[in-house]
Amino acid sequence: MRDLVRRAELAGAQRRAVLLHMDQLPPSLAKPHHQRLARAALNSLAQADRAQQFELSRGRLAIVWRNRDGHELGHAMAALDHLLADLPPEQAVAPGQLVSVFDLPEQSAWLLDELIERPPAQPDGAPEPTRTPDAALMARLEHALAQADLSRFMRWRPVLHVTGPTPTPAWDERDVAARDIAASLCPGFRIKADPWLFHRLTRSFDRRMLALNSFGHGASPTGPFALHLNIASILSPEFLRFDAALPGTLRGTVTLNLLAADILADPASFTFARNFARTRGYRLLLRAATPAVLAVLDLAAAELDYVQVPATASLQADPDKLHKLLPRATMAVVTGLDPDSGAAWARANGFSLVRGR
Amino acid sequence: MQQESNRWDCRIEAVPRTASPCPPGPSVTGAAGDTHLGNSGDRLLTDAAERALRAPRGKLALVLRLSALKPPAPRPHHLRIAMALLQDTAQRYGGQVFPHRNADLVLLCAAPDEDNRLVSGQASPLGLPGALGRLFAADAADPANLTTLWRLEDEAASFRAYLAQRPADAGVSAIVTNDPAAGAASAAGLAALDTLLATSQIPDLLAQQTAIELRPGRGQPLTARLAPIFRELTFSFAALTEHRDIAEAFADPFLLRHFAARLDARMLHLLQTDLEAGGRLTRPTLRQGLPLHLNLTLEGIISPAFARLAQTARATGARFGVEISLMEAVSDPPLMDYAHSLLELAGFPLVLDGLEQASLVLTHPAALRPDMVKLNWSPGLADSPPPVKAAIDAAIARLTPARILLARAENEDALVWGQSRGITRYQGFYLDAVRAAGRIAVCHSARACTLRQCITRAGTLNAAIRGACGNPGLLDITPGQGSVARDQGSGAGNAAWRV
Repeated sequence: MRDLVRRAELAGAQRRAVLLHMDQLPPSLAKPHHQRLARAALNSLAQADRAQQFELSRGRLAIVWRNRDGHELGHAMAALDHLLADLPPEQAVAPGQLVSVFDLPEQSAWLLDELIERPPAQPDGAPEPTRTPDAALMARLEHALAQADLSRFMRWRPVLHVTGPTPTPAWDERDVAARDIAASLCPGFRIKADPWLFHRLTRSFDRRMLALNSFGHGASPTGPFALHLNIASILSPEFLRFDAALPGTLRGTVTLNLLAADILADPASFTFARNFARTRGYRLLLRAATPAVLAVLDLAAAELDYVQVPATASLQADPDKLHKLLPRATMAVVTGLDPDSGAAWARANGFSLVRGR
Repeated sequence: MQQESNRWDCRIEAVPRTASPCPPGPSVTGAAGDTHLGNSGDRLLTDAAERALRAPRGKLALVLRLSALKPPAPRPHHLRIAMALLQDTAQRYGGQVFPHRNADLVLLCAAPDEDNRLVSGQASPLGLPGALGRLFAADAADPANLTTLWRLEDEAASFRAYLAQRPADAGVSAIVTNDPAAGAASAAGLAALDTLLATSQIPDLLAQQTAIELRPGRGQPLTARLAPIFRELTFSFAALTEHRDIAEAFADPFLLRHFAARLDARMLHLLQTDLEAGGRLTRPTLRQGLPLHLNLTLEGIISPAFARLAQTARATGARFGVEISLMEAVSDPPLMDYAHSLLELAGFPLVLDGLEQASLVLTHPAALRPDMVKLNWSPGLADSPPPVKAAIDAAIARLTPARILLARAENEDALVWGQSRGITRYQGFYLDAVRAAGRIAVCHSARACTLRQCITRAGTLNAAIRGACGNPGLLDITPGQGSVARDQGSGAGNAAWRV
């Protein structure tokens, strides 16, 4: 999408783009069939001249086409208007709130800005969440999440090879925006305030992510990707279904991202899950592998493929510290680097993978 | 259930795992396809086997002996994953999987011919023994003997012999495929637990256990070689798990830690006030010159309640140690660093708790600079295959035996193994029993007491349970080397005991 916008800008090609903000759908319309309706409302645009469609993060949909003066947009907006007409007054939303229209190349900078991943701002006037969840709330969230469609909360960040002169994609890291889910399901609560309850809740996220990323689902990945998973989730029926549906072309390219505390919560299960994941061709990555964690966990014994290392200022100042803790530098995925100079820094210091923002 | 399994000490490993082979519960569902269970499953296997044996050409049978895995395996996920792998092969090779009620799985299928062997790769039944051996490498005492593959054309007699000697269904447990901790929790149950923990009398929930040093003394009775080194206070799992929701919540490591953190503040406050008043919770232990060990979360250590306890301990000269689970220690390294510095400031030694065989070989706990590391005994430490044994020995050498305490020493095997590795410090049911036997031998009120009663009463701070003892002054005592008088009472006279 970014490439297309930049090319249009460079060539001075006239295009029109619409962005459907699925994440702005009011709660009563944030159900899967509503999302399908909203997409269907924009269907007429997909038939337009040279139309190209893009799935963006947070469940957003973008369509770019050539004929700036056609009637396609008017038809689509009328269809969307119809969908929104039945909303109760307190949830009233204008089509303009859900759809942004950009004329290229004049407004390409604005559109590019929309494409940058950033945490959603708190709605105006919404108080910062302050309450700490208790176990009963966590249980209610588990029930609420059991069948929820989390596609609008899905985020992905690219992991890049930086060994060549220009970074190339290695895989996409797919995750859900927990805070946004909390803001939607239990506004006012700091969802990560109790780390152990939050950790428990991530199992529910895992189940939904496994369903969401299963082959055959609308948002299923087409290239190499990584999922944050708990050990218990790798051993769950949901993972077996995910595994059974994984296309042969993707087998061997999927990475499972684990946390050290989860590994050590039940190390026997970790060992079994690791052996199972290996049997089925998955790669394993240790998340949040700070030097303190790397000093405790024996990477060789754990037989992990990658470790995700946050590039703190002290590590950037003294990369040797990290090299000493790693069996091989090529297993590190360095995160949190400067978007402009990070790749060069990683390459210069012998690291081959970085995670973008 | 043994006493150790009745305890939870704010540590995940203290919660009894799914009992072996599996607890009674819901049976295997039909989700796995051609799956049959129990008596009818056995009959179906027998029928299918007979049919296969009538035309054995190109047919295979394979048994996966999940029942031979080391306890607590086979756990539900072992069965689930093994079933999925065998089902995969069954589907590709026109076969069926038959689970036995003891969790063993039998696969009957066609042998791969030259063509489909190339196509199907790792799902080939011929590759299963190797793949399953690798998968269960850490859980099987003898991975090579985990599976047997028969080519029915040539090995019909051997397969018939296996079928004939399969254990009868009677007396073996049912298998389950759902984990108690894997489903969604009950909001009402957890709310009730919250209330229970907020309102319970903490002393009624407290258990205690004495850790000992085994002094050299070949030929001397064990009771003469026990020197107590500290007493650990924990929350009693048994006191809380009558309710099903609560038992399920505590079976989940993350919920357990959440509730442990909630209890920390109350326990720290209780101990501080007890210490100031010279109360019954702290005085007996401290008078014996023993440190009290507390299991705390990182949140608990950085709380004001901990700072107040440390201050009171300094003022009264009371000695404490703090035990932190390994998973908690790696969950938040900066917080762990800070908590450790607070422990150093308070003069409380750090004990790293919750190491087990699997984590011992996966970690370098010394990097966390603990004063002591607790390794939980399991038979696997002694009877693992040679490569695993070598890894265990290397890990012990790295840590040094002097820094290790062998916890959950439930039987003599634990002591034998520990001593063979140079470990001298122990804690667990076996030592509790030896100590209780020593007390009963010298107690004037023990005529009607069983060993179990004496162990239970000594292992709790619940006043009602301890009150059943006719000579409660002896309960916290470790008898040693005949240095006690038979009618020794409570109070100051205890100084004569070797404690």
